[in-house]
Order: sequence, then structure tokens, then C-alpha cells
Amino acid sequence: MRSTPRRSPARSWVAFVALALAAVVVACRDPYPTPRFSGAGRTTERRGGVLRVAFDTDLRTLDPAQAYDELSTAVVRHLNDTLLDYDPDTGELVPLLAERFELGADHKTYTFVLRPNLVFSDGSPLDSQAFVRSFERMLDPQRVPCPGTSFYYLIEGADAFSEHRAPHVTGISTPDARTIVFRLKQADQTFLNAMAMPFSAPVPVEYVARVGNDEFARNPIGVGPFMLERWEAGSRVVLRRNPRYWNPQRPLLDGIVYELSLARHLQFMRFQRADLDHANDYALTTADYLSLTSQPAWRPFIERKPDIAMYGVAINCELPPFDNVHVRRALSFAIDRDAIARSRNYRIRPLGGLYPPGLPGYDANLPGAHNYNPDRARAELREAGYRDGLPGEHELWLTEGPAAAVYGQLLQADLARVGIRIRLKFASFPVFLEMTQRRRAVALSYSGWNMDFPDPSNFIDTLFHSRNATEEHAQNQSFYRNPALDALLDRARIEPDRARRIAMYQEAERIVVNDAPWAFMFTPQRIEIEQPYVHRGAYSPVYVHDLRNTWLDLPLRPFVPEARR
Amino acid sequence: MSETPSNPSSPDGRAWKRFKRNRGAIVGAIVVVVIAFTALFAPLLAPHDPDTPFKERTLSTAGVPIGPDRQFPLGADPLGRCEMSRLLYGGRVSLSVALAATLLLALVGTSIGVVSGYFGGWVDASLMRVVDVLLSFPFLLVCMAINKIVAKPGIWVLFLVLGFLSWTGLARQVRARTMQLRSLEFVVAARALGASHTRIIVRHVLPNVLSLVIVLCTTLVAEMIIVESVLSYLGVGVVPPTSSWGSMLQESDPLMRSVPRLLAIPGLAITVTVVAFNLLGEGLRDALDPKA
Repeated sequence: MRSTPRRSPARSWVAFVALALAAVVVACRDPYPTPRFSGAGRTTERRGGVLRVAFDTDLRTLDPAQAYDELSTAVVRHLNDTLLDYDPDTGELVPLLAERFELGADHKTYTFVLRPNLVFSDGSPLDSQAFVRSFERMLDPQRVPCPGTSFYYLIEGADAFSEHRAPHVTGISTPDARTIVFRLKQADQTFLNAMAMPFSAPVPVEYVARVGNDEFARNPIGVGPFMLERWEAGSRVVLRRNPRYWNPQRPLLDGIVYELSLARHLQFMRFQRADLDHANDYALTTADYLSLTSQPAWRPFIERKPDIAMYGVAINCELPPFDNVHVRRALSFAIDRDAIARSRNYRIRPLGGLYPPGLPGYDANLPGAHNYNPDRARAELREAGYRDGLPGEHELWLTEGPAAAVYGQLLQADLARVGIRIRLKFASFPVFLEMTQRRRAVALSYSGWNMDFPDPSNFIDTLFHSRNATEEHAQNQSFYRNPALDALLDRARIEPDRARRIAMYQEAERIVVNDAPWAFMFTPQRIEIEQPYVHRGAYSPVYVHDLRNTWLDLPLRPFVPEARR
Repeated sequence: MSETPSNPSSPDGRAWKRFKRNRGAIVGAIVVVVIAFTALFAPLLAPHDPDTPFKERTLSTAGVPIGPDRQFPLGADPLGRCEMSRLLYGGRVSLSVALAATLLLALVGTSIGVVSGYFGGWVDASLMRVVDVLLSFPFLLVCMAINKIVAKPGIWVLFLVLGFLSWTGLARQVRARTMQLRSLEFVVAARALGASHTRIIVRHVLPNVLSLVIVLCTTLVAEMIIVESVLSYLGVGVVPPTSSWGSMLQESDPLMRSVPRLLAIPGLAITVTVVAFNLLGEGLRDALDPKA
């Protein structure tokens, strides 16, 4: 038998390199330059179909009284209804479980009338008394650790009840089976917002008492448009339509699948393969974002909206040298916000004040807004008595993660330029929260605030009222204390005239911006992408993962570029 | 190693001759020297400060780092810093961590290996159990945990952790060689002549395990470079803004598809260095092994 000629080593090297190059080329080619499927071409809403979305975190709880993170809230909002909800178009509060509501002449009494014949998804009835029993469970720290009780502390007798000095909340009464009356200790313009928060959603307390909180958090029952089909721990949660839902028109979807703990880049790959129907900005790495926006076929399905959130550096006003307002201002004026936005492909927008665009009270021409002005920063440092920069090296706390690392390094370089040297300290989120919310512990921290509801009080009261500068778990992370601001905020909170109230909050923002307890940096843009066959429908401006009005244009057909909505 | 000896029939001379004939080893040695040189003189060679972002100059309006041009020979990194400068300074960090860690592990590993192999008995048994315990640690997890615990993580921690956790393999090989040596005639003779343990170890055992240690260390440097990269890639290595080849990979990861160059540059640096050290190590092994 003839032996096969041996290949020369040089030739096998060439073959190897060629193969490697080919592999690289193939790997770099985008497999899905266009969407895979289009819808059937309907323009009117249609029932049916299951929508698949993914999150990169695990689901913590399905108990509305305990859900306060993004994913838990998103799911809980579909299993439960609250008395009120936000109108998707106007952002105003409108009745949901309530048929109507009214405010008494004293601005302290709120009357809600429930819709008739409400039932939980297990068939048990929801009347005013069942609602109040559920509400009292939420307020009772011994029955459930609810992180949102402070939103309801102005209800008369709420504190006495939660401290177990009274068997019931005296400020809540039920004149008949459909009417609930809340009496407040003082007028509070944010009370109605609190009644749209999922904490207040009614749960069947008898069922909860029977199975216990832990089981209820895994196997909840609510009055919402969907009910739980199954929760496979760590991998997915499946919801299906609640046949007993009070609104026969909703929901339009038969079900929702939430994939859990799915890494962001995998989410996007699966979205491109049409294994997921919807993706948001959190699923997009810079490269994915750039490749997606460069593909014309995808462009019509990308939506950008401002996220009502603020990010920046919280400066501890109690720790020298940052107790000096000039040092704080120097720090803020040293930050090149545009360069930071650029490094994130302008998926974030520079912000020089506290209120982000979209929040009532936002002022596009805010006087004294922080901007990039290194000369002013140096001048402020000189005014504070530091001619050659700030002595020493100061620690900036950040949470672990690639985005924070980018911002941290850009901040570090900017601050170094005016003579403020910082060292980056990365911590896990729980440690970060514990330390930055403790008095006199952390001087500088990169942090942010996402709204609970669209009202300026939710930003400025939470972050700057001295009542929130507590020893531990302080929401006022800069430990800023200003009696004049406190007084103004307390007046604004009860002011019934909306225009006057907003003006007061704008005045309050100017005080804060001038004293620079935070170096405000940016507000994110939220980017949503849908498959061509997904019709998102109107959704809540506050709870942005809302899928109540979403419908699927089935059956699918191969993607046709003309098929636009 | 000794310089080129004049007498080619001496053992060192023969080793050098064997080494010279190994083309791969020569290439490896040259590459190692070049890389060491660039790392050493990074401040002179780097065109810019490695930690300064050049913003509008280096990031497009879409936030994409610019490609190579005259001022930025390798383009910019995702934060708009000079990639070339970061590569040079990063090489400094990667190499110095790897070399320092290897030196440390060589010291610890050789001492423990020699003592264990030479004395045998309960000394050997107990030291080898320590080795077993260390080998059963999940290495990456321990590195990550230590890096989290210390207040100021940095390259010092990295080098100490790497050094103190990875001497076990070397210790075992040194121990085996020492046990062979212990029963050889010249050691037995030395002992019969009344030489002290210290003298035997220093004069007879150590010189004979040295070639083994040198060979092992060369390949261990390569391994340390990789471990350092892995740790930095996982975000538990060097603290930003310090660059290392691993942290450069990590920072470029989100741009993998749109700017593959950013992954290729540190990736190639790691590959070339590791291959060079391995070639050098193999060459040394062949040259120093008298049986070859």
C-alpha cells in the first residue's frame, strides 16, 4: 500500500491559520441582521398567545407586601390590582379596583368605592372588609416585613397599630361592603400615589394565615389580570390569564413567561433568535446596542423613553472635607457629564439637577445646574482654602459591575484633573447599602434613585429631608440637614394647589443644587425592543414592565420588511 | 545560567549547545526578553498616561473607541484611553505579578520539597498532608474570597495569594527528586564523612534540584500570567484604573462584536507571552536534562 505523502509543517501552519481566521470571521458575522418573524398584519387587538421575557436576576418574592425590587414588582403587578393605577397616556391616577374615589373637603379624608363582585383568583370574594384586613396585614411588622409601610404613615392610627398599641387602624373605616374611607393625620398629596403601589394590593389574608408567608410568597393569590401557573425556582415563572378577572376585556395575552437569572448577553442572543419577544436596555451590551441600531430592519422596533431616575455621587456632608460646600461644589463641577454619556453611547443623558426629565417639577433651565467647569471647580477649591488640590486620597464606594467600574474610572480621571484624588472601592450591593446608609461611614458613593411614583417629593423628601438622615438605613445618604429645606418640604407635601406645590418643590431643588450634597450626573434612557409581532399597547408610565394591554399578532410569518405596524 | 562557556565539553557547555540547537527555545527566549524590556521601560515607551481618558478625541459620538492612528498606535479602549499605553503598563502589572508570585512559590515550594524529601518520615508525612489540603482548595474561589476580605485589594494581595497557593505542585516534584538524590552514592558518602544535614542539603541536594526548579518555574510563570488574567477578568484582580492584560480583556468584553480588536490585543499579548515562556521552559528542560 502506498503511504500518503506527509504534509510539510509549513503547509499545516498555513492551514491552521486559515482555519482560525475563518472561525473568527464566522464568529463575528451577525447571524440575525433582521428580525426573524413578522406578525399576521392585524391592526386591532387580539387575544391569545404567550409572551416571553427575561430578567438577569432571580425572583425574590410574589408577596405584594414584600416585593420592592424591579423583577418582583413587575410580576406582582400582573398578579394583583391596586385601588388606583396610572393612566398610560396622561400619567394621572385613575381608578382600577376602585370604581371611583373622592377627596373630602378637609383634604384629609379619602373615600374609595370598590367595583361590584370582585373576587380573588381562587374565587373568594373581595369586599371592603377583606381589603382592610389585607391592608392591616401589610402595616403590621410582626405579620409581614413590608419595606413600604412609611408610604402610609400619615393614615390616622397607622403608627399606633403597627406598634401594637391598637387592634385596628383607627383612620380606616368601611361604612358598607364596597366603601373604604381613609382619614389622614394631615393632608398628604402623595397618599393617592401610595394607593397605586403594589404594597397596598389586597391579598386573601385567611389563605395567607393558613399557608404562612413563605408559602404565600411562592404561591400567591390575587385579584390581578393573571394568576400563577408555576414558578420553577431559579429558572422561570409562568403566569396565565385569570378567568375571574373583573375586566372581561383584559388581559389580551393568554400568559407570560418570565425567564429568570438569564445573563444579559444570552437574553439578547435569544431575543435575536426570536426565543424572547421583548428585551429592554438592560439586556443590551454596548456591542449589541451598536449592532442593533446599525441594522435598518430593526430600527422601527426600538423605542427610547426617559427613565425617571437620577444617578450621581452622594457626598457625605458630615465628613470633612466634604462638610465644606465649596469642596462639594468643586467635586460636582469637575465631572465631565457629556464624556460619561458618550462612553455609554448616549444611552444616558447628562443631568445637572435632582429632578430628571419626565418628573413633574423638572426644570430644563434650572438656575445653578451643575455642569462641567474645571476652572470653577478649582476656584471653589481655592475658596475652601485648598490652593493645590484637596489633600489626601478619598474613597469612592461603588457597587460591583462593569457599568459602575466605567463611571468610577471616568470620575477618578476627571477629579484628578482638578486636584481631588479618589480611590475606587467596590462592594456587593448589600454591603454597599449597609455602609452608605450608615452615618459617618462613607464619604463618597456612586448611587442613584429610581422613582416610586411620579412626584418630586419622592426624590427630594426621600433623599434630602433630615428625617431620613437616620443612624442606619438612611435614605438621606448624603446626611444633608437643612431646617429651611425641611420646612419648605413639609409645607409642599400638604399644599393642595398643584401649581403652587410644584413651584415649592422647584424652589427646594434650587436649594439642594446650590448646596451640592450630591454631584448629580445623569439620567438613563430606557430602550425597549420588541419583535415585529408584539404590540406593546399603552403601558404604565411608572411600572414600565406592564403588559396588561400587550397583544401578539399571531400567527407568525417570515419577516417582511414592509410589514410595519 | 552561566554565560557561554569556553569549554564545550563541560556539563554547562553541553547544555548551552543543546539549548542553541532548539529553535523554539531561542525564539521563546528572545520574545521573553523583548516583553520584559517593554514592561520595564513602559513609562518611556508609552505614548500617553495609561489612565487618562481622551474623551471626544478618542470616542466617536456613538461612544465607539477610535481605531489606530498616529497618536494612538493601537487606538483607544472603551473609556477612550490609549490602548497602547494600557497594554505596556498592563504588561508591567501582569509580568511583575507573575514573576513575583513564581519567585515566592519557588522559595516556598523548594524549601518544603527538599525538607520533606530529605528527612522523610513524619516530617514528610505532615508536610505532604499540608500539600494535600492546599491542593483541595478551590483555587479561584479562595483567590476571590481573599481579594474581597482585604480592605485594599491590589497587586500585592494578588501576588501573595498566587504565590502562597500554588507552590504545591513544585514541592511535590522537588520532593520526589530529593528522595532519589538522598540514596545516591555521593550523598551517602557525604553523610558517611559526617557532613551535617544543612551542608548536605545546601552543597549536594539543592544544586541538583535547581535545574528542575528553573524549568518548572519558567512554565509556572506562564501559568501565573494566565491565572492573573483570569482573576482580573473576573474582576477580582487589580483594582481600576490599574490595567493588566486580564482587566483589559474584561473591560473590552461588552464591545466584543463591534470592536474585536480590543479583545484581540490583550489576548494576543497573553498568548504570545505564555507561549514564549513555555517554549523557553521546554528548551531549558531538554537542555538541562542530562539524559536527553
